[in-house]
Amino acid sequence: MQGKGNKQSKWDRPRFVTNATIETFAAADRLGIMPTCLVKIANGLRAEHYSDKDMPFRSELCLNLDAVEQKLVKREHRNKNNTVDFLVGTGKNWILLVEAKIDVEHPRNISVSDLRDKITHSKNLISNSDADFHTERSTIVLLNTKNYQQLYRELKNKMGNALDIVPMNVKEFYEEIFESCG
Amino acid sequence: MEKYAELIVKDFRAISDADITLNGITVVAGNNGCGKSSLSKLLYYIYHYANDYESIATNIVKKHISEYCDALGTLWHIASEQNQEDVFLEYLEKNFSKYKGTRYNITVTKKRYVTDSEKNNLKNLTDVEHIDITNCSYILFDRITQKINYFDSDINNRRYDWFAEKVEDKFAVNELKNVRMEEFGETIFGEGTKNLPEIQYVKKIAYVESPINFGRDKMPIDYVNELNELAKQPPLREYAGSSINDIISRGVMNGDSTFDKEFFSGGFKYKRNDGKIFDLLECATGIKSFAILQMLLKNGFIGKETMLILDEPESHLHPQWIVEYANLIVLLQKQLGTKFFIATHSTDMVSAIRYIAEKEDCLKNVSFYLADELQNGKYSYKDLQNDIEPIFESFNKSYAKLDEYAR
Repeated sequence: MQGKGNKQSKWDRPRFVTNATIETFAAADRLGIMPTCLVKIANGLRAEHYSDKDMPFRSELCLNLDAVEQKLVKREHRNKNNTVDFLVGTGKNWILLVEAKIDVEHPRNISVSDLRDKITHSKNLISNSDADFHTERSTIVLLNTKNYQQLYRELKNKMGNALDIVPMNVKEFYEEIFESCG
Repeated sequence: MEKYAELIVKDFRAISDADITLNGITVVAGNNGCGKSSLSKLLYYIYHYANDYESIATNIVKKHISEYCDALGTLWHIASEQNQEDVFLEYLEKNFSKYKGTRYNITVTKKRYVTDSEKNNLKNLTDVEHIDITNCSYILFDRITQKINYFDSDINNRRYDWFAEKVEDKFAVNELKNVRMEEFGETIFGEGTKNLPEIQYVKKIAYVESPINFGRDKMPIDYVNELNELAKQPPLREYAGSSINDIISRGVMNGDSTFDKEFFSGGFKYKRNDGKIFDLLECATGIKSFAILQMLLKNGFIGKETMLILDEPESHLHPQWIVEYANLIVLLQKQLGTKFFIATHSTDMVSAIRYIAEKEDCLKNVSFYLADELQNGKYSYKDLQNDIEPIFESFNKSYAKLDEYAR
């Protein structure tokens, strides 16, 4: 039995160090699209209606994968595939997929197959970068802070307790992957 | 939130402090060993004995007069030996007729044999050297009347310690020093109480534990036997909540459960809607969980003044049936006013009660508590009202464990 104060970390992998990681990754895009799709994480979360009052992020960057896909669709004249929302750089050469479901009130509105498809398409998309990077096996799913624990459990159940899906709220995401980098 | 009844506990077993308000459906969650079952048992015994006060008190008085009744049995034998039985019986009839139909219902049994020691005991009790039927009868009746008169005022004033001793007997010495139970602001259990108030909020109580023990006779646990006896009571032709029984028999169990002492097994039977009859004790444990509710509902035990203590009601139930069970709990509370005290480890049960109650517009009668572990290993019970997030946070530790072992 675990007492108070013994909270176990959900993330024991490389953490965010500087914006240079994701910038380097984007710069290696052979099509030159990715560098134009770097945005502040805070802006991405605002687009998901995450409240400014609780916003922990300041100038940390991510790669907006949806924007990358839209630009590719225009260039390649094909149908749009759904991707996860963004990509962050961790450690020296690791990238991490992040799907924001902050607007979602109930996990029944999250489709397991859609999420899996998004992950697959996103991995295809990032292979356009020539950078020698590794993709984290886990994907972070950001959930609504209100009812977070209920959403967390229901999502985990829905995903068959898959270990590669790591639900977090924004505060945890910041504390686990960004804040601890010092 | 209105405070109908409140259980206030400090330093009791694993519990550091708990202040639990009972106002309809009370759900308690927490780690194994945090004291949920101890609270359940405490609540059960307090209400069980408080509602059984009359018979507890009567038995105590009967115990006090039993030696005199025994001596009267000896005297009856001697009276018959001395051919004075008529005199004795006339005295008996004259003096005891006033107790007929009262709570005491005193009985005297003539002894077939009387030993010297019994004769000496009679002499000691009546303080005589020679046994004289008239004199001894008069003295023994007088002592009995004195005792009854003396204790009558105790019973009428509902002397507290008789009740408290019964509750305390169920726990270790001094364990209940810091326990207090109040109903509408009046203390019904707790130090300093002199008289037990009339019980208002809960007049009938049952402790429903694992259905595995259900229906088995002479179990070493009194509340299991009590539940078996309650379930054996015959169904009423009309009872409140028949629409809820329809949900159980049509929507969940696909059948009906009854007690029939002529039935080949323990008497409990389950009749499926296709007409097939089974021994209920041999049926799926989940069926038994619903059968208990069904039988208590049909025989009128479940009602407005009833509290059901459900200790991990989700055990043995498929998640779908956990939600069905939660639905019944909410409907029984809403439609009949039945009170529930539920100890659970199930997120399905917690969320189903929370959201079904909200939909049924009776969320104000539901409260959740979480046992928070303190540094000293004891638990403090936190009143969450309707916020179940902290309960989920506690249950979600299982995922961290899974990650730890499987990732």
